[in-house]
This record gives sequence, C-alpha cells and structure tokens, in this order.
Amino acid sequence: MNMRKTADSLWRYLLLSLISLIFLLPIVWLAVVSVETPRNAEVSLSSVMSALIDNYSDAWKTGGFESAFMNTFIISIFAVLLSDILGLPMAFVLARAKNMGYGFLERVLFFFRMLPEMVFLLPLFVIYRKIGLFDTAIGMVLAFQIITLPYTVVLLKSYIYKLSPSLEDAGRVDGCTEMQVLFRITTPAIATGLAATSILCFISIWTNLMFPLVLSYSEAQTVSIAIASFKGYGTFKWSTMAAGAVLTTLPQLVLFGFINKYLVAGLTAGAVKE
Amino acid sequence: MKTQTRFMIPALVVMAIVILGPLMWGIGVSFCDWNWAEPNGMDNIRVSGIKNYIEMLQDPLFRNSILNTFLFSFIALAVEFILGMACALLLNSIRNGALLYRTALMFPLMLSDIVVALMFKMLLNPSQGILNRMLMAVGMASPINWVGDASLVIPSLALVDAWWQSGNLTLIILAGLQSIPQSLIDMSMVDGASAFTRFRYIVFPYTQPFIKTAIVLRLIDLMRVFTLPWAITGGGPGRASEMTQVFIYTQGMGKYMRMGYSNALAVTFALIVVVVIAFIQKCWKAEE
Repeated sequence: MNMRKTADSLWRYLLLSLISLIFLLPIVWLAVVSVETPRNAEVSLSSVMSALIDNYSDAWKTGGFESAFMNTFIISIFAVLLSDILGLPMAFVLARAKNMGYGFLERVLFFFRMLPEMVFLLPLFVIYRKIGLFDTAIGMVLAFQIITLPYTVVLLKSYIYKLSPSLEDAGRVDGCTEMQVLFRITTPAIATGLAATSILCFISIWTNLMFPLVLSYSEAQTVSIAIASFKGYGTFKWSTMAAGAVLTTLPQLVLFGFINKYLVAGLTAGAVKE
Repeated sequence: MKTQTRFMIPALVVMAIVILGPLMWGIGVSFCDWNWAEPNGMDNIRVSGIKNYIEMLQDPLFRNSILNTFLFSFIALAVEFILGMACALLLNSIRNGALLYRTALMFPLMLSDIVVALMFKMLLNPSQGILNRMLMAVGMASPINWVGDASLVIPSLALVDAWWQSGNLTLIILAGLQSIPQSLIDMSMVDGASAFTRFRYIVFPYTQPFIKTAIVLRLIDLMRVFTLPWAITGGGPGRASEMTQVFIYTQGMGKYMRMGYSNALAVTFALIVVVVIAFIQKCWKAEE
C-alpha cells in the first residue's frame, strides 16, 4: 500500500519536472546565448565575463536602448499615475453604489477589453498625425489609457468591494466629505491592492508592442520597439539579440516578484462576478 | 447631482476621448476612400459608402487571415487547456515543492510577447536553431523547417503561444481547485468514491466557472494575436501565417496606407471577435 502511494506521487513529480524543464530550458538557453563568447575562444570565467560585458553593451548601444528605457519609464509612470488618479474615484463609486445601472457600466469596460487593438490604433494614428501628438510621450500616455484605465477601475473596484464600508460610514458620521472618505479612509486601506494594480499596469505598458509600433517613430520609442528592431537582421549576432532580450525582461521580473500573489486577480480582472 | 456620481466624471470623460472617440472616428473613416499612398492622399478624403466593405467581402487575403487566426486560436487553446488543466491538477495533488513548481510553470508568463517571439525565432531556425540540432543529435534524419513550411507554420506558432501562456490557465484553474472545500474531498474519500467520480461530481462543478473564464480570456487574446506572427514569420511563408491583425496593420500604416479600407477591416474584425465571444457565453448560459 505504502509502496503504491510513493510510486503514485513519484510519477506526478516526474511529470511536473519534465513540464517545468520544457518551460525553463528556452529561457536558460537565452541567458546562455547572451553571454556566449566569440567562436573558438577559450571558455573560462574571464572570457565569459568579458563576453557578458561586450554583448550587453553592444545591445545597449545598437538597439537605442538608452533612450528607449528612459522613454518607457517616463511613459509608464505617467500613464499609471493618470489611471490611478482617474480610476480610484470611479472604482469607489462602482464598488459602493447600489445603482443597478452601474453593472452595465462594468460590462462596457469588459467589452472594451475585448476589442482588437487595431480598431483604436488606426484612427489614433490618423488623429495623432493631424494634431501633432504622433511620436510624443504625451500621446503615448493618453493612448495607453485605453488599456490601463478600464483595467485599473475594474481591479480597484474589486479591492474596495471586499472592504467593509463600516469604517467609511464612521468617517461620514464624523463629518468627512466624500472626497476625504475616499482619500483618507478607503485609499490607505487598499494600498497594497493599489500598488499591485499599478505594477500590473506598468508591466502591461512595458511589454506592449503594438501601441509604440503604430503611434511612435523615434522620439517616443519604447523598449519593445528597441528589442523588435533586432528581428529584421537574419544574420544578426544572436548573442547581442539575446542580451537585449534579457535587458528588457529584467525590470519585469523584479516587478513580478512583488505581485506574485495578485497575479490571478490581475489575469481575470473584470471577467469574474463577485 | 450626487457627489458619488460626480466622482466618475473625470474617468468617463477620458474614456470617451481616448476610447469612444477613436472608435467612432474609425467607423466613420471606414465609409470613406482615404489613401495616403497617393500624392496629396492625406488631404484627399472622399465618402464612398459601403465600397470598402464590399471590397472586403471579395478580398481572399482577408478571408485567408481570418481562417489562419481561427486555426491558430483553436490549436493554441486546445493545447493550452490540456496542459493548463494537467499542470493545475498535478500542482494541486502534490504535498512538497508546489510553490517551486508553480514558479517554474509560470515563468514564461513573465516574458513579453516580443521577447518570446525573438527567442523562438532563434530556437526554431532550421539550420542554426538549437531545437533542430537537438533532434538531429537524437537521430532525426533531416531538419524540420518549423516556421518556413506553409503547412507547419501555424501549428508551430500555436505551440510557441502554448509554451508562453499555458501558465495563465494553470493559475486560474488552480485557483478554482483551491476553492473546493477540503471537507467535501474528505467526505468523498470516506464514502469510497473513485478518483473519476470525485472529478466528475466535485472537482469539475467547482472549477467549471474558472475554466470558462480562463477560456474566454485566452480566446480573446488569441484571436487578437499580432506580435508572434509579425516578429517570427512576418506572415509568411507567402501568406500562410498572416493573422488578421497583421493583415489589417499591413493594409493600414504598416505598408499600403489605405486608411479607409484598413478601418473597415478593423471594425469588421472587432465585430467578429465580439460575436464569437458572445456566442460562446450564450451557449454556456443556455446550458446552466
């Protein structure tokens, strides 16, 4: 009996290990390629170190990474801040109001999430070219609201909804205005949820390719475009490309580390009823 | 007006400007001829009624892109569902190291689509790619042209997507599995229910809403696929892997600069996605 049980769980571990291996190997391979030494060079610690420095500085220079990193940071931070500021009050109302019409509003937000990006990007490209927002950071920050604002509202609503309203009512009895209730009582209580939401939005901008591809040319280019610029070279040095890929991924990995716990809520935002 | 309702105004105004505005503008432009590739084309916009939509219906390339997208979505979803379900059940059934395996399984999720695309562009390279070299080393006779062969390219791209996003389904289904009360499982054990019976009457009903959510969300993203075909194959070989959003992009600012026509394509494709999702949700509702 015991033997069978051990064997039973052993194959589970074997299967999981196999699948994990398939999932991890390509990433390990990418990291190895990024420190690959030039052909027929002797492999030693010092040669790997110098290859690492060579490849990464190569990638940093060729792809225009320096300005792309700065651009993406600035665009992401302002886009996330704007979404938070606009989204918080709306989420507050949606979570607390008893008006049935607001349920419809939430379905509309999910509906927006469904539409293919091109249906927004083609018109925005035309409009931006006409009014001079094409290839500007402001234009990008505004355009990213298409993704981040509905997402922020839906996620923050779910956090506020889980919070008991009794503290807010106590505040109202003590004479707080609605604005004070929202920013002094509710917001601090969902601070971690707000941080997780902001990080998820930051990552979705950091990794987005289509928006900068359509709405920027050189001035407002983001890291996704910088790394995508490697794709055309058939015979491009793979080690440089791999180094570029690792560089763009590092900030994401760090951020994902913080929000591990909130990932499922982030993935299903707006699609599950509470 | 009540204070609370007033709180929504800033967000609603911005959404009206950045979401509804372009949407309406795009629908309007889709009824016009507006070809930026012509001389002075940018200033030359003419209302042309439903001409763009008629052209679209007769465009074999649009049909081709839709079929490619559906085939890709179907294969990817099937593989992701099977893998995701299997991983979730396995993770839920082991005692030690679940966190470690969970982290390993969701690692690909943390990469961006363009990084995944470039990585597999290198891995799947027929002559230099590590995958073929490994397969040759264990005895495969000739290299497989994963993304250069018209009949293989869509399954290959679907498998790349499955590698990338299976963890997504694993996480959501796992959340469903963990919502099953332990007492229910214990009771069925005492009653001597077989693993299959337990799955049929306890596990499945509890996880079903999670599975449905995961499938809908995945399908939405799969149908809108852009980066993988754009970066790995560019829609090729020929048009064998040209997905709809890539096709629309090429017709629009990507190459031909046909603003009217590309907008008509985008509006139609948006409708198709909405109808497919609405249809699935309706079927599921009827079932309940």
